[in-house]
Amino acid sequence: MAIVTGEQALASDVMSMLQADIAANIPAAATVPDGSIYYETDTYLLKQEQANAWVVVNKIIATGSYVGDATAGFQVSVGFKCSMVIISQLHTNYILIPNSGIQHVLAGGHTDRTANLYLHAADGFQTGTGVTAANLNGATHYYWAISE
Amino acid sequence: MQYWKKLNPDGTILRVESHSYPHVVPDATEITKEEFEKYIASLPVIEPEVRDLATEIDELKAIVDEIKNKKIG
Repeated sequence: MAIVTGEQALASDVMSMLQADIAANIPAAATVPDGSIYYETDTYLLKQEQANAWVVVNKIIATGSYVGDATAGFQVSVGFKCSMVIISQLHTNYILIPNSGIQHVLAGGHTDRTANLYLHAADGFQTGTGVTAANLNGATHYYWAISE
Repeated sequence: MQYWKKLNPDGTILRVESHSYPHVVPDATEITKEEFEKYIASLPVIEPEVRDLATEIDELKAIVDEIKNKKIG
């Protein structure tokens, strides 16, 4: 059981207030010089003023892992929409690229893009069932994801 | 790195995940690195499939020869 002291709780409250204060004080894009930038440390996003709007200008690379299970596929949420994902488990690798065949490198791969293993429309990617679709029951799968 | 688990309806762990990008994983509960590693350590070791292709080819050749011999006979 975690014990939170009064000092820790106070520090947490102060940090939350500071973060909220900083976010609230980011000026509207229309009020800053053209091309101004700022970096969101909590989301790793670099934003630039473009045509009076804050636009994300950097890519995010995330890593992680998941354990395959016996279900008929599931979404692996990585926190953002991906442009490419590489997955590896044991000696099998997978590459997910939009508008291209989905490749299960050692077994010929799936050519469909919606039924087995594919980039999710909004966040991360979707697995299928079994080793050909990055969901081998009980195996740890490691991923490297790049944002759009 | 953040660690998450998803549960079965009976409360047992369905799956664990780790993610470097900070975000809330839908329908999952955040766990400690220790709990994550304990679950991973409890999984049975999965051995990669090892195929002896030379032997498989020899077996197929034998089957083909057998079929040929039947046709000739």
